[in-house]
Amino acid sequence: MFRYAVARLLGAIPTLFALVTIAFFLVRLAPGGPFDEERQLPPEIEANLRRAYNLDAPLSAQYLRYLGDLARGDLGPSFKYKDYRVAELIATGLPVTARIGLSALVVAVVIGVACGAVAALRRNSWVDRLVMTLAMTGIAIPNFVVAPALTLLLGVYLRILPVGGWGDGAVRYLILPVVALALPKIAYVARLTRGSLAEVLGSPYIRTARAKGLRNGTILARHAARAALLPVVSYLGPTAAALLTGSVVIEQIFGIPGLGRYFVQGALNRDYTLVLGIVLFYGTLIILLNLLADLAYGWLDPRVRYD
Amino acid sequence: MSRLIVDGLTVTLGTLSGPRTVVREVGLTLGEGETLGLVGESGSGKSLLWLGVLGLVPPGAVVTGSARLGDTELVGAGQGQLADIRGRRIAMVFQDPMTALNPYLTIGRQLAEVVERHHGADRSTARRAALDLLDRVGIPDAARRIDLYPHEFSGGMRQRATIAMALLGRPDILVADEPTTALDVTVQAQILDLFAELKRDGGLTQVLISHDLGVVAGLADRVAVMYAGRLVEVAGVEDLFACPLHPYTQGLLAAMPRVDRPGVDLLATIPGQPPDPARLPPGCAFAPRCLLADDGCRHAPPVLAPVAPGRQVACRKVGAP
Amino acid sequence: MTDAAALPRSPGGRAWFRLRRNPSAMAAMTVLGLIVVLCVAGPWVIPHSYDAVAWDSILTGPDWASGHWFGTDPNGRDLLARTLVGGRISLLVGLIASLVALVIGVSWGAVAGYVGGRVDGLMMRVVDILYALPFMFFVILLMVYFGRNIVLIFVAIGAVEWLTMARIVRGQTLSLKRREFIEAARAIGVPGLTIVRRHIVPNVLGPVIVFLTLTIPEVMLIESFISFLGLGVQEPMTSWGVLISEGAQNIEEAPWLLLLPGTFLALTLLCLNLLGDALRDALDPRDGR
Repeated sequence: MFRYAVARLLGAIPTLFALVTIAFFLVRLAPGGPFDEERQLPPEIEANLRRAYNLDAPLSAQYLRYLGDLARGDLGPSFKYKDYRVAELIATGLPVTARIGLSALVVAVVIGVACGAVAALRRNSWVDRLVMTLAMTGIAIPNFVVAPALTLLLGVYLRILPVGGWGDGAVRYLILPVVALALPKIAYVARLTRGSLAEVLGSPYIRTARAKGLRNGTILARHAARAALLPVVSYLGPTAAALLTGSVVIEQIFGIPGLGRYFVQGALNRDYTLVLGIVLFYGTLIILLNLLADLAYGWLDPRVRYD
Repeated sequence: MSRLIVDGLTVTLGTLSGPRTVVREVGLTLGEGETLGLVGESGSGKSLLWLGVLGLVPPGAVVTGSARLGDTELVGAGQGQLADIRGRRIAMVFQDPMTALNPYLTIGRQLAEVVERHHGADRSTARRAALDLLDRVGIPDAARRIDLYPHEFSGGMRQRATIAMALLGRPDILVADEPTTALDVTVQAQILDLFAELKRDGGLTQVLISHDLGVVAGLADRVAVMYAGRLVEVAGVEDLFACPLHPYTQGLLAAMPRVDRPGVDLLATIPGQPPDPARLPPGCAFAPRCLLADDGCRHAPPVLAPVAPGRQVACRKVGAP
Repeated sequence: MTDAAALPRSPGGRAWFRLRRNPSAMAAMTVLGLIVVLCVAGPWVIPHSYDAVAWDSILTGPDWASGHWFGTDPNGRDLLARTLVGGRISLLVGLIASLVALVIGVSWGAVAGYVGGRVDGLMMRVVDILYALPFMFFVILLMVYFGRNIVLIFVAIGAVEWLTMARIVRGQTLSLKRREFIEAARAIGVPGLTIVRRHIVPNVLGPVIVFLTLTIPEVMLIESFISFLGLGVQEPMTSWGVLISEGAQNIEEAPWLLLLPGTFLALTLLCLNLLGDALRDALDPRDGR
């Protein structure tokens, strides 16, 4: 298992390299520059600035230099947030984004699995139909429609929850963004769980377990749960990635100072290093999350071998 | 003294295209310590008969009739009551040991839980019991293998493990559903030896379900033959092989390769296909394939009737000279 | 089993037969057809044009008399007209970008699976690497830098969505390759490309159609996502994502601005997802019923 994890991490190097390269050139080849929007700068000052940020060198040299800095763990200075390193900005945004993302992940998995399991256990009953109809609807309604609608209902009309902002992470401020982010994922996890649990419950080894006289609770907890949850586990990596992406728009809607906002602002401001840094950070995170999901899968399924 | 009396047992599956009756009015008595061979083609309802007795039929299926184990009526019993009987009084071994074992749990865990459930043993006692039984069913190096997963066992070892699992509840009746069908020929012989050993040890009532008369020939005391959901013949094993009465049984026997009749004669086959149990002809289900059938056979179904002591046949052409 | 006689022989016919007996699939198809017809023909029929600015009727609510049946936006433009025209864009993006993904994915997967060996390994490694990249961010970057160009949206989304398609087709091709009729074709000397085109592509069509049906809603979602961030199509042209974004900004004064395009988008996505699910069931060869 350990060797497999190391091998997978090594295997991620070409992916990371591709990530850095594509992101770097995508950012740099774009028309416009970081100093375009500011007041017309005197040419000599702009030249100084460009030199200071190493923008006057040939692109290939800039690229190599960026790789070198990266190898030392340095993401460079931000162009727009003067006096800040990109790493510092990520460090301020990350706790916010992580808090929303992780909460949404937990909510999606817990509620999704519970709903899916109930539907599978009461297959073709009205509970099943209700859960599956809601799940289908949940998948179909994008979170950027749900978010404003929820805000209107709970924030404006009922005045139960704040309509936006962060409030230093108070739970009241978390609820709406987390729910909006988690809803489509709850729906997806519920469908996944229902399908796999129904399949597992129909499998011969569950019949064996029943033939042994085991009680229903034991059968469900010991014999069915693990197999039924495997698809959910393998879906966790992509889900976490999707939640990170989704939080870009959620942070925008609720005015939450997380990484997603930095990214959009950075992209609009042509803050090269910040955008690049965030893309690399997200990419690495997604690769790691996928690896974690794979490892968890192998840990749960004894038939998966790592050699 | 009888242990299990099945009477008029009927199993109807609920399918998308409507109800399908796959077991019809089956009556059987299992004596203590005997080994019954239950023979029939696939789809004849021989497995579903036992799933019906144990309440293990798929959702939507309906079981009617009666199956009495001692003083307990199993048909219509609550799931809790049935769960106490399954594995403890009547245990089952299934055809394919690969799919019948849970791939995510170690063999030892799957065995031990039977003892924990039915005999209230703690984990370590249950594990010891499991180890003993794995040894007894001939798993070499059981102390090490007990912690392996099913996929790390060979096919034969897996089936030995499922048999051990069934025996761990110390059941009165062991129902083995095609226990050798999914195995290699050499392994089949070993597994059949294991059943023979269990029979020699005595005390255990066995039901051996097979589509192969040869499999049950050496083990069974009595043989019941099923066709299209009905019993067509029940007889002592010697009587059946010496003198099969029902035309279908005769056909089955003629289709068996025999070492005592060497020669070039081709194996006989029964012409035609078994009918869809959901759409049986009005008369005898075997009539369309039967060389002896006449109009009477085609109009009224025969009843399973005694023709000699310990012998029953459902055929109008037998016993009515 | 009872319908064995009525069941058509060809796989396509059988799938269609099963699909027709699935009420939710038929309902989804009907609603979807209705939405398409409304979006395509609607703008010519309704009284207002999608880009006619009217400063005297800014953010008016739904009103029958004025002809603004679903109200107006902050520029006094008719919401229904804008929603229908926006629907054209959203549906078009969904369809074309999915087709782009389809063409790239099917070719890539079929070639990799058919050629096999080192080429296959390399091509699939490329897919693996691209899979791990945070593409949504690349798409956002592309949109920011190269302007709100609708062709670019097609290409960018299509380029993202082909990866799964390639994997599906490769897997199918690998298993098909070992089947007798392909071996036979090879044995009599049919050229490789012809085999791919004539034998492999038709045989992977089932999963491909299912995937296409499920890709369209995903693509539409991405487009709306981008538009919502303000990076999509340009004014006065619009799409459902743009309209939803406007609705979200004016949610307190004019909730209808979110409601109408939101409903259209959600309904379309719902129908496409239902249809995709039903198609998957209908095309499942394991299902004998």
